[in-house]
Amino acid sequence: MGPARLIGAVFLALAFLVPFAFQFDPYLVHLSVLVALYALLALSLNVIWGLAGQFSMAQVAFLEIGAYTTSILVVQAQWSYWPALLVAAGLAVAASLLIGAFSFRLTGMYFAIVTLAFAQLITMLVVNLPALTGGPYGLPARFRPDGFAAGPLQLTFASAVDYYWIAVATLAAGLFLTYQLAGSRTGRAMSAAREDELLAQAIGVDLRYYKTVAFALSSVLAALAGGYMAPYLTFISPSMFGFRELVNLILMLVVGGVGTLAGTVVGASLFVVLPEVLRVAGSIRLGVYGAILILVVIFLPQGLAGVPALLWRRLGWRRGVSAGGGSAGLQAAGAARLEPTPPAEPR
Amino acid sequence: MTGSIYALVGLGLTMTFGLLDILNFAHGQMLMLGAYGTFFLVRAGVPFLPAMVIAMGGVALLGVIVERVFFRPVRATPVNGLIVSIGLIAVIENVALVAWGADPKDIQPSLVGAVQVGGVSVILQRLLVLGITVVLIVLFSVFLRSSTLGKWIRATAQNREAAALMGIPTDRVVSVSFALGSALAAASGALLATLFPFDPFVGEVPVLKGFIVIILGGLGSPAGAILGGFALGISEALGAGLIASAFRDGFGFAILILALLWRPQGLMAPRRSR
Repeated sequence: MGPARLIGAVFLALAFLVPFAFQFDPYLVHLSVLVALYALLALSLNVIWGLAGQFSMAQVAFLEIGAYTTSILVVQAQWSYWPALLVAAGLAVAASLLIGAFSFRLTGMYFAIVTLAFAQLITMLVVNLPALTGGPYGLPARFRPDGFAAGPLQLTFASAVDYYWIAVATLAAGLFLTYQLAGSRTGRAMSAAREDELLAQAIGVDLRYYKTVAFALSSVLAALAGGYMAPYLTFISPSMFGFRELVNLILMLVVGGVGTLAGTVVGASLFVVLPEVLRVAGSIRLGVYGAILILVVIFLPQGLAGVPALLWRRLGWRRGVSAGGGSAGLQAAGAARLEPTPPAEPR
Repeated sequence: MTGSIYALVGLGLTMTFGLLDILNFAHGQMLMLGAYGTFFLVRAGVPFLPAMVIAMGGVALLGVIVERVFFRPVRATPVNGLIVSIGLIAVIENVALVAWGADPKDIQPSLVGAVQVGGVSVILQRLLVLGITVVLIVLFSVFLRSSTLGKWIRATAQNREAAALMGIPTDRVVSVSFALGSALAAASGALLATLFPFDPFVGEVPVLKGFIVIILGGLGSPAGAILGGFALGISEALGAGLIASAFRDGFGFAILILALLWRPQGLMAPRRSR
């Protein structure tokens, strides 16, 4: 555990040096901001799916709530940015409690589809309340978060790199929190819910409580990503939070590796960088991207983070819970199993 | 009316879910390919019905290939199958986009005009679509219920190991049902294309509706899929007409949430021994 923490800390420290390595090249910094924001979103899905085993399709809706609430409060109600972001996160938690109250009665695919239904309802609300949200045409979000001094840094949000600092700091905090959580009693209860609901209940784990907590945490992470994303992109519209974005998110996390902390960052990086690299392939680049993803799922079911298995597994949160890799969480999310769980990899 | 197409999509999805537990998100792309296949055949001068049947055959063949190449390797973990299907969406849609472009196309309706039924005017083409769908659904139900292959499919869905022990070639059964599911998707696409313009992304909304339908009806139950399809179509039409048309798509989701709270296993969940 000692070395794992060390490696994790080193990686997080290195993340703060990325803009220096890129010599503040605007294009590369822009890509880095996107990686950090998507990693935050992927982490949000990872908490509810990878850790608690509930395959939620509502995470993009929390992103949407975060982006819209922040923008509406700042642009239309003249709030200052940080309180607006706080309210956005609170609203996302409230939404997660509401959705959870309905959906945690269900498991597996049923849970997935009901959360998807709620997500679609939220998008529908956004589309149909044009006075508030700009409707299908979207909402300009031309405002800057209020600047503040963070140690030696003076954040003014006049340039992209300031968004990188705040996003990567939030990501680091989220990763650290999740890491701590996974090793705690609460986190083990969540893992128990993922591995075997019946058994977990039999030994007295209050499934509903732990699922609700995981869902609330995941909704906050997604809402924060949304709150940063709106002023960074200066424009939001319902089409940015549709089914397509959900598909992207799932692919991102699966390719990175569900249930591993490294997987969120690896997946997000690949998702942002690969299409850029594939520009040489012209207009079929998204198709090529999809094909790569399929190959990953077939040949590397534990995601890219599972490749240097021994090293990365120690970074993950599967400490002592089960010897299996990322796909154990995937199976737990399935509605029913056709065949017994394949034997876990020998350590 | 739209209910009958939802039922068709749901029925196709049930074929893959019932056997493999895979929620096949790429079903919508099979639908899209069916629409394009029919469109090109009709443009080449083939009448609509034969064109649709040929497109169904082509897409069925593709379904078999997709099952063999992409779904078989991940059969042990159904959720990975779901993810493979999501990857397939990206591949198929983008290939279609490059090949055929993004501008909407439509198939000329084979019947023009409307008839008066009890004071309500009904567009003939819609009646034709309804008729074709009902015929397909009936044919399909009879096939599942009575033919040997249909019985094999149902047996495999109930218990794959036991079916294999009884000498049923389960691998081939899985291929066949993928072919059938894809053919149904192609038919839904061809029929939708006679009513609305379509582009390479046409499959996404119907497949979401299809998921509502099969969850509503009960996963893996063909009868449930048919019932769910009509229930969804009717509740959407009523909701849009009586409450607010802007929220048309929302009524389906609301109905789904309510129905699952009332009967979490779906309206007509099959008994399955696993």
